[in-house]
Amino acid sequence: MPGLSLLISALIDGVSRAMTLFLISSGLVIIFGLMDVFNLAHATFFALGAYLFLQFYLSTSCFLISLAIPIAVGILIGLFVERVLIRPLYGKHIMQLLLTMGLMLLLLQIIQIAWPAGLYFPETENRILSGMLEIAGTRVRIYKFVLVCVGLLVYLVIDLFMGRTRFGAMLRAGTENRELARAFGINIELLFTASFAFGSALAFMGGALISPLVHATIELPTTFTLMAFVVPVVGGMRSYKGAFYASLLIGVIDRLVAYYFSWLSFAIDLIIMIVVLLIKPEGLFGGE
Amino acid sequence: MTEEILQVDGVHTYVSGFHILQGASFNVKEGSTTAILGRNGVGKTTLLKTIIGILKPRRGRIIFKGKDITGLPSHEIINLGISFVAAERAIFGSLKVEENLRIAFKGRKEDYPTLLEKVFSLFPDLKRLENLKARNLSGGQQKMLAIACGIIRKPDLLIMDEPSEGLSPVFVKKVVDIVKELNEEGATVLLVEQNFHAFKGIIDKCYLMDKGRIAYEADAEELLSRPEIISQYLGVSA
Repeated sequence: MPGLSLLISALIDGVSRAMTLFLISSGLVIIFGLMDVFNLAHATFFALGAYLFLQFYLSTSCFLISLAIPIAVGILIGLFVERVLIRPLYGKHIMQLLLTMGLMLLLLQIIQIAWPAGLYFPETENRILSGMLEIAGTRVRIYKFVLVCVGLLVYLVIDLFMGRTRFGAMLRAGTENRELARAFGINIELLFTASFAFGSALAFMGGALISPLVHATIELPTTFTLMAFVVPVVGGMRSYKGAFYASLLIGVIDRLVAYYFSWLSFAIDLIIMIVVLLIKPEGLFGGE
Repeated sequence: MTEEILQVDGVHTYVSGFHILQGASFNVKEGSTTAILGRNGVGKTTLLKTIIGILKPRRGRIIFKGKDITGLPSHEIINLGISFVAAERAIFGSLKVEENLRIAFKGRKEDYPTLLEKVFSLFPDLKRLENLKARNLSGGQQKMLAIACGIIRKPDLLIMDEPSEGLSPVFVKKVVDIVKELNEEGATVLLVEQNFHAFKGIIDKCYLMDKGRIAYEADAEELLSRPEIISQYLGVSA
């Protein structure tokens, strides 16, 4: 039945796209929630994660090494950007925004110089990475399911970390009221640095994880820079839970529209954002 | 001769360009309960925020336990043994009651359960509400939680901004009793109040504040015998 198989493809694609969006936006909202810094270079970090993963995968063929390196680079870049670039501009939000914009443009140039032709994930013998599965007459990449599981796992880990640890409670406290957090004896500057490094690492890891499915070309950062805006606006700028549900909503609707009304594709994401801005400007989960 | 645990010397602080503290000086003796009294807007809260480093003084010195803490970051000042209970929005509403206490606690991990039980014995209500988000507590319960957060880390100096504000007389009495008990256990207490009469029985030393300075200092008993001073600086009759 062609109708059903199309629907199944669209839904599987939608959920795996949702996880991609969540991996990009979760770090962004954690950083923004605490520090009020909207990192425009965040999606470029994500793309850089994909390039680095592919670069190392092509030379080592080892998935874990190729994943670990972008995460480590993400932590280091996060530490550097927060300590050296953002810190002198605390409280100056417009300047921080301009700074991260400059950083984005710089990184895009570096990407184009380093990998002018882009990088492509090779065909492998590994069933999980390259294999296909047949569901109701549709052939689906097994790795899409892996990506969905990883996305859910990342969400659960963030949720446990934020909800159950003392550090997570301190992060939520700093997000709610920075001055009171200081009065509670919390070292808020250290918290800023740690959360920026954590958020950057999440972005690099996300890029690395999706690279078996999408090729690393310059379209990757440009497309996702816009999506990295849309998800937090829809879900609520300070809520990783909001980012999760908004990613699901946008990911699934985006793919359904792309399969059935392809002329509306991409515009639909912006339409969702505008509708949410009109009815609930603080985001669907912004009140929490 | 008791020692001064806190010395504030000629402190000037600006808030958004306004010259709020204009040379405030006072001392707090170790083991005492000291009050800073004054009308709204004379700079009491600014003074407290300057002591704990949330606001940076432009001039003057602040000494705590013999160490110059002027200009140090808040978390370093707090970790030297000061607790600050803010007047408003003194707890994190999005955190559970127990989480507020957990992030307020600063000592060794293994001491936490004992201190938590001790705080719960002082405020039995809080134990019952332990897993509730703090924003769901009543105003009085939130104040109790704020005080509980202030004392769970066993500070050498407990600073409280308007502890009785917005509380019913029953709760005010409870706050007074708790301050008294803490003080008897050896903690030094510094509080800012407008409601002098509720606290007069437990205050040792009073500083009256006016226009960003300490204008008058007296023992509590002496102040009670000078109703004209009280009405001049506090606007209430004795």
